[in-house]
Amino acid sequence: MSLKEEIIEKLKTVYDPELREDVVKLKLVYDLNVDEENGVVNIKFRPTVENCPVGLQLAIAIKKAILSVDGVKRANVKVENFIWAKEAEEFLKALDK
Amino acid sequence: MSKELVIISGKGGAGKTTLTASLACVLNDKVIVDADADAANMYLLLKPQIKHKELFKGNPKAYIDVDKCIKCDECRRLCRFDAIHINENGEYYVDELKCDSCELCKIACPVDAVLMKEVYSGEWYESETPYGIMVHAKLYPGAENSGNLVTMVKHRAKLIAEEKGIEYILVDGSPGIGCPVISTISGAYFVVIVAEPTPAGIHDLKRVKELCDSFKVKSGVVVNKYDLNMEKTKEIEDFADKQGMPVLGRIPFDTCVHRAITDLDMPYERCEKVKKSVDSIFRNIMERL
Amino acid sequence: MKIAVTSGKGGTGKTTIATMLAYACDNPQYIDCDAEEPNGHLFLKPKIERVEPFNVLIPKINEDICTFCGKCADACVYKALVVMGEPLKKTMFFDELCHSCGACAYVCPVEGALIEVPDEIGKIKIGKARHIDFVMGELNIGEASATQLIASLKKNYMDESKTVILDSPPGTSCTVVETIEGVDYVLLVTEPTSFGLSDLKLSVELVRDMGLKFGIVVNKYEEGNTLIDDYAKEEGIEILFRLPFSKEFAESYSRGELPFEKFKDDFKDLLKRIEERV
Repeated sequence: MSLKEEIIEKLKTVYDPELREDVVKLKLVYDLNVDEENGVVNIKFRPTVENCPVGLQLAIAIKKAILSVDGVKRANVKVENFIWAKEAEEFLKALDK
Repeated sequence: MSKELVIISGKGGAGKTTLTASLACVLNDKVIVDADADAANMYLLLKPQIKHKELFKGNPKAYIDVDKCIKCDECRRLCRFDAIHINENGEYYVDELKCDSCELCKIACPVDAVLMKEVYSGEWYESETPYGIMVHAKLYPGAENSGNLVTMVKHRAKLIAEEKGIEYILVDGSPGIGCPVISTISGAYFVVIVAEPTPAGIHDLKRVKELCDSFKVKSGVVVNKYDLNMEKTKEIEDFADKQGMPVLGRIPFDTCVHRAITDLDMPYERCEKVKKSVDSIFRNIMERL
Repeated sequence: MKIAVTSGKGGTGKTTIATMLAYACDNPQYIDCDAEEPNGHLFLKPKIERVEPFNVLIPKINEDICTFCGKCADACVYKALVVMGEPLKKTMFFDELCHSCGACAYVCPVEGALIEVPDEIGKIKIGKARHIDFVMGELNIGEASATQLIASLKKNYMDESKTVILDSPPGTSCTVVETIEGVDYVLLVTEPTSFGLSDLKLSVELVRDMGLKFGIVVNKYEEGNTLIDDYAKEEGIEILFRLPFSKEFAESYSRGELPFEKFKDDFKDLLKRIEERV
């Protein structure tokens, strides 16, 4: 399995607590691209609605899930159309090793 | 990014579903959503053919393994939803209807006698109707938190609209101002509030308008059965003007609507007065989209 | 005796029936549990004597004492708390997700790091309308659920020595369950339309699940329209009362007036029939 496929499988374990379905099936994550050699991952995440109260929690869970995959050195999660985007940026940066 | 046009009313029975079904006849490029999962009725008029169905997982419910339970009463003492009781033979049990899935009993139990079991709180469907694609749902009676089910049907509709390049999403919301309505108006581009010219209609209009403001969502008002009480109709329109809220139109009281719905026909197609007023309301709405 | 008046579909006349039934009782207490959109006061026009806030408990974190262990966030199934340790050392709380269950406070290992503080989500108004004891719950705008407010109305304000009429929210979800749970009899109000019948079936399913005694009230009844009568006969459910549709009734309703006196005897009969079945 390529690193990218492994990441997708891992993301299927990240559940939206309100909809009780994973973020891949819900298509909340997109534009995933993986630089296999350097282990750098870029991905975008958008909550179901702009004022989604679990947006921040999901952003953190997505980044943690990606970082937990062997071979991933760096994960850049960009949060789009979300009113707490600034807070999300701050929390996500704190997850970098 | 498709635009969500949401129809709500605060008060039940104001004619919200009838207006939404009528708009479904005249607004073409749209996905229809029945977010009134608790008492869904629009399917009766739109006669959907279900293409895709999925069960909707609610929050898991606690239950007690009586063999392990040592009756220390911790769970019953801590439960804030009065969900844990003792039956005639002195065994502890969880009343599933009252359980709020918070898992405090599971955390507090010294002997791990509390387990959680998955439950389904409803189901949702993607269907085809003569008026376009429709996403709708059924909340099982007694189930909680229909707000999540509303979020799901709206999200599925958004995915369909993006995939097929459909510009609008027409949403029929539920009465009240609680979690299903909050989920319905979250992310809405414009909200149409249907009000009836009665004291209860005006009281509920004001509360649901305040809810839209608190979520920073633009809203307009339609007075339904306006000729039942001209004085109250004026009161509604004055309130709207004062609030800078557009008055989108009026629909007259018409026994034809009552008969059409009883025969499961579309009032827009069968009642001339409704068709005329909905056409003008539609034009006013489109100016705001 | 406790009677709940509910309906699947909104706008079938639940509050009309509940207020007129309360008026016809000798020693009534009317409780408006439709806390999202309470309307009983518009018809009973009570003199409100007391207004009390209804509070729930929500967590408040003192970040000076907090060790950012994250146990509270892990214990919260609703994900209302976010805790981030080094280097950020920051917490966030989303009150619209909180169900006031107390799990976070229970698991917090550091004394005083997380305390529960009252948060007003609604109001309870108590008063008198002629001979009727009046109680009403009103959810604050923006609050998600009235369930705990309704539970408090029944636990702390209900007077079981009287004939208690509980005016329920529409539909069949958790607020309705909270309202009708444990009552002696449930009146299912419906209207003779396909929408009314479709929602009546959901209410029947709910009251049967809950093992409650119930009967149907057909409002806006029209001679010759047997939509509800046929369903009730088929299901073996009793129709206790039919309130005929009339334009004057709709017009007086639209002025906020109900013909209490005119129908007093009809509702006294309805009450007697309920008492016989309890």
